Amino acid sequence: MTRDPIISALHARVAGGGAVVVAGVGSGLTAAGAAAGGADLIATYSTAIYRILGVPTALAFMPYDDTNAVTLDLLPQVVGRSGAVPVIAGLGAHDPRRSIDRLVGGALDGGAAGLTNEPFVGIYTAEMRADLDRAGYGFAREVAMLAEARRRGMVTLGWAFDEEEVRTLLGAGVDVIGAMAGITAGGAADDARTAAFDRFAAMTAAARAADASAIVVLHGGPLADPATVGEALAFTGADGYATGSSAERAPVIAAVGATVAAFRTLPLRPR
Amino acid sequence: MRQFDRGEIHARLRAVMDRGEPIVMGGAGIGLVAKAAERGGIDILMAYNTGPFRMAGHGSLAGYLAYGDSNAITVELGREILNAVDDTPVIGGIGAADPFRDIPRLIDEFISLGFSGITNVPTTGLYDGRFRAHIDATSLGYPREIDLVRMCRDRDVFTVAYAFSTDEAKAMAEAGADIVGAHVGLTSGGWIGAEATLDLGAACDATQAMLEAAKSGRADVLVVAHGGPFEDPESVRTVFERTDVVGYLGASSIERLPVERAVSGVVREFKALSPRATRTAG
Repeated sequence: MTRDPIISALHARVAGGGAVVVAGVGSGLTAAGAAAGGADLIATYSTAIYRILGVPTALAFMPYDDTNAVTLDLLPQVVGRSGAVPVIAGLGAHDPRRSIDRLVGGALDGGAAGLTNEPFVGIYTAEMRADLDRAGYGFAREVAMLAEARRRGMVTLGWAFDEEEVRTLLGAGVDVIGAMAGITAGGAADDARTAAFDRFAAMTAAARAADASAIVVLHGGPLADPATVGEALAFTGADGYATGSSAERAPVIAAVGATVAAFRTLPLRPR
Repeated sequence: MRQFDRGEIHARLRAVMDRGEPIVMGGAGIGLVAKAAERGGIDILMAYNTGPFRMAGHGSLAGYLAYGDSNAITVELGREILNAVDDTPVIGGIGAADPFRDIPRLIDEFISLGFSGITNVPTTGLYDGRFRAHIDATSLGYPREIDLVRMCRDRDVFTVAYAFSTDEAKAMAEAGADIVGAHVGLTSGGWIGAEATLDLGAACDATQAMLEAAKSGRADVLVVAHGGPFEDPESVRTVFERTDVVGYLGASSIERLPVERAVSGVVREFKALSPRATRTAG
């Protein structure tokens, strides 16, 4: 799948008044579910894979696994179950063993139509983040990876944590901005929710100002259910939503749990 | 390779201190460094996942991102380091947040491999801000490292605990850490070191504060200096003069910085030679 028709389809979706939905999946099964639900894009990345394994997703940001190996290994399975929906692979740009060139090549070989910068260093804060930037493990390397993906004809989804990062990503030619408000925490307190909505709005406005044709999707923070996402889209004027735990962990646990419970209510023939 | 039990390490360290010498501990990310450090008289060698990244030319911070299975890397490194030295205790770093392994079994595996003790590396103490708050709240954070040290003490396994604050230093001493490494941030210096670190005076103050907190937790805990501006013998001389630490734990300063300097220096010397065959060229 090539970039231009994919971008055109996203713009057509927005022009028609429909929210763009990027579905984050960590398995072939959930990819098939997302495709059946009409996802505009399917993204696969290490945090999604960890949530399917039932381990904490923060592991994608800690040294207990080679996240790029994990994602590149699963990628063909997700592509195979996504039907006609373009698949975006999430790769960590700071891999000491894989150059940016090899990362982009690996995503293309696995059948990805697009690339995104996940895991991202934006999750780290304070001194750790500053140390990473100085050591050459900063946001700039993520931008360089996305620019290379774009150069090689891929759709690019760039995750940003603030307006400056939004502008940098658009300057590098990134197609879709993911405005990130941190780890999803449904049922957030009102002030946290207000703060997240304000951040989403500021990042969306920064994207519009830099590039009127940019597509902006929201993720994280209080966005855990369709009603809250609807309110956020109305408040910010963003183009869509990237699902995470909200369309994978929560529905899988609910559906499997309810189904098992239903089987357990079956009575045996009296004995 | 000789494996030391906890009592043997303490006897060895006591003898060092009785001679008026500092305890010098060093990280080794490759067997050659371990061998050279032993020849130099290192008291304790430290093997953990940041070492191989460092010696592969990357920043130590690569060992804190998700580009490798830290505990598998350290087991592999142990096989290399343990056989490169004859008579030095080697302490292995366990990442206590490992979701794929049972920590008590991992301690047993490290000891059966030949490690003489355990340290909490990779440590979540390096993460800060919101991310640190998140992992502490989801039981992936520093409290698990305190549990690791306590588990080791219950098994009479020697421990070196990195601490980043007075609270952590005290908690690790209370949990039974034999040595607390008072960590004042990533080591500065060289080509890929941290640029902004505490100045020497502030680093000494932070070290002494952690030392006093650790001693308040358990009076007989040993405290050594680590990180930040303590990157060479001159800066370490200062922390020995201004604080009550009994030694120094170096990683980048023991292996990365000396190798950077030595190898580039020797190459420069070879390049300065002028072969007869090409002397007239250019």
